[in-house]
Amino acid sequence: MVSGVRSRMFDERALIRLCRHGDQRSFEQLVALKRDKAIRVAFNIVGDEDDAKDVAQQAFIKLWGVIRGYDETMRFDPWFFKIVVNLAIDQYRRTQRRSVTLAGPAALESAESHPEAGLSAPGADVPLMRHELRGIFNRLAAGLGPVQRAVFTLKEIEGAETEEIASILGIRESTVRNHLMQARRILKEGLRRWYPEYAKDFNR
Amino acid sequence: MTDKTACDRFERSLDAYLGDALASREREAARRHASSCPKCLARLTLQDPLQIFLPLSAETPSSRVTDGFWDTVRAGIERERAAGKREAVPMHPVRPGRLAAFAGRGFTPIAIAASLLVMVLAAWLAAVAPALFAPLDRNDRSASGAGIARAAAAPLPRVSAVAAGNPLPQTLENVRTDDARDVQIYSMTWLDQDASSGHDPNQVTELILIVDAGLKL
Repeated sequence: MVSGVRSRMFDERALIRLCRHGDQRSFEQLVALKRDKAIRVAFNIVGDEDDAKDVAQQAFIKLWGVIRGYDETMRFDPWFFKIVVNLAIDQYRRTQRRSVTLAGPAALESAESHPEAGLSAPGADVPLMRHELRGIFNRLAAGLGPVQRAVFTLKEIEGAETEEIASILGIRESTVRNHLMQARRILKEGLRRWYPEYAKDFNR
Repeated sequence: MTDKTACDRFERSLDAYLGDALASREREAARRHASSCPKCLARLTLQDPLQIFLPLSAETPSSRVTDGFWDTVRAGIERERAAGKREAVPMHPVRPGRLAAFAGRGFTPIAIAASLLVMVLAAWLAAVAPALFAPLDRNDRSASGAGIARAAAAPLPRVSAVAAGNPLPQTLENVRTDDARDVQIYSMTWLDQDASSGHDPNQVTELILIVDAGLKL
């Protein structure tokens, strides 16, 4: 298993090196390798699958433009995901502005009056379906600011280290911790309010 | 992996996981296990309900999103090329706190000071050590369309560090203008990686200095 991981890392390094020398076929492979995570991270920040696809594609186009300047002594993922996350934050800000302008507070009211039905609580026999989970997350995370949402996504969903998140977002580690605390508070409140079946054993 | 051993191991590391006290490898293993084992995930969410979102880490995009993904990326790359957008030249990525931070805060006066420093340095070098500069082919006018003729193929000197952490000239070219003036072109590029600076954090910044000793001001 370890040798498999090493071999994958070696392959990735070799691929990146070829990309840096302008090999577009290798770049296609690199895109295939990073595509799903890029879309997923973008999706968790922008909250819309089509927007997430656009963000990920823009990130790869941008990556092609700057990959020659990538310093191979640095880890690739934080370097690349900096592009993804920043584009996603910009996209989320644009969407937020649009929804405030077009819909106003009515959009939130409308969302509040239609909580998803038939969800399974954790520990129930039927596991929570992923699309239901996605619906809950999108709804609750709509109350987060773009950076809070990015921090929560990277830390709690992607499992990134605080230091790495600070580097990706270009902010201090203490600021990351602060954003995470705020995001967790807002999400917990939303969970308690709209999905109390998940918050009944709240003790943290 | 949902076997009993893995579940036992997860249970033993649960408190450390919730307290963010696991080493990154163990933490990743615990995350992977919990996102694929409903029983352990339920155990985790009893302690921290927000962990219900953990399975989103294993989410894969639908084929609606992935179909034609590369074709769009490739078309975008071609479009950028056709638009004549310059691709990045080799550069030194700079960590936040060094050049990027410096670039974001009060950049302009520092850039002007750095430019003057480089100009003075170049003028001084040209005066005291002309041999350092590549000899110019005075007959070469082949590329003079833009008003400047490139120097002959002699290897160009690299300018060494002035001070660690400052933007360093990465390339230096001696060129001859149409009206036979010898000028030096310095090029510095860097990647602004400091999002807090208010600049686009992925933007390649380039500074070009043209030192023209014969210019009459």
